[in-house]
Amino acid sequence: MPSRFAIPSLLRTLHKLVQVFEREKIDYMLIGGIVLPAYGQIRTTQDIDVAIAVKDIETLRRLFEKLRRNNFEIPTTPNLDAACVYLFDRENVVDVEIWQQPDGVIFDKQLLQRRTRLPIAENLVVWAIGPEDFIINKLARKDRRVQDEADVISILVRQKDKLDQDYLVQRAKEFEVLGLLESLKKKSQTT
Amino acid sequence: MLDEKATILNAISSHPCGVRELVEKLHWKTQRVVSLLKTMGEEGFIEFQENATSTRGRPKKLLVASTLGVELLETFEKCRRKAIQINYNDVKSAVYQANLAKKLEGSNVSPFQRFWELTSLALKIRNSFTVENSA
Repeated sequence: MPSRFAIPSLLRTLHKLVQVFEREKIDYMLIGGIVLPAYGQIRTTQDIDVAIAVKDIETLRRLFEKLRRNNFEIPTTPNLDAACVYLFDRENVVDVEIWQQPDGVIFDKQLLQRRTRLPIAENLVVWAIGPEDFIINKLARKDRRVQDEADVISILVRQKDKLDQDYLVQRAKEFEVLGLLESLKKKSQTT
Repeated sequence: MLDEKATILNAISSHPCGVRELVEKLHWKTQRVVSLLKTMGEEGFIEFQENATSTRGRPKKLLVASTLGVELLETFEKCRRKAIQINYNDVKSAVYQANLAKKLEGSNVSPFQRFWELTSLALKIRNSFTVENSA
């Protein structure tokens, strides 16, 4: 019996987003829970978080325009100072958060070099935040949840020897989360 | 009260010590520590042992956790690990998830179907990253 529900696709939303970013030559990367399974525990998340580096208002206007044409609902006007823009993909019923100023993330050379290419479907390869920056982003969140700390612990356990500790500590100092990082490292050793 | 007892048991189980040393270690008021030790002694969670290595004067009395005390500490740690730990932001996030489920139903999308899709996506991301890294 056919389901009364249509089958939406997060992948379709991601595909549309990535196409727009790449066509507009915008540096982007997935952040948040969607990236977590790559580095830490497998946990599902309901929305898509993307960080973008847009420096001029014209590019941002063009981006909004293209996203709207792709059926994204954007309730706000382009504003370079907005930390986050909330989008809704009407076609696939998916919430998207576009971060222009994500907590604990600075779009510099190091960050871009540390991005990871994630091939998540046959025709879809996306940029994702690197594991060290993922950790700092989670810890520096103003609305940090206990869940975020658990996510970080899972990365510390799984990526133990692969993390660049010097870079991690340097970023943790910059965002004043070194104490928290150290305490989670201790917890990760007993997990 | 139980938290404080567990803290004392934890402190003396790793390193038996005298009352003064324990007060210094915990940074609590002496009166509070002495009163707790008295109760814990009566309850059978701690014992005093004479320190055989003392050379001068009266042998120093060391506080140690009794078998019952060790059992209490282990049970307390187990319970603490099982406790649900959340803060206000976790609650807000749960409310968001509930509202999203309503929104999905309203748009004729099954929340179960969405959950299934998210789980498959999470597994794909895990597998693709593992393969990429080992290549």
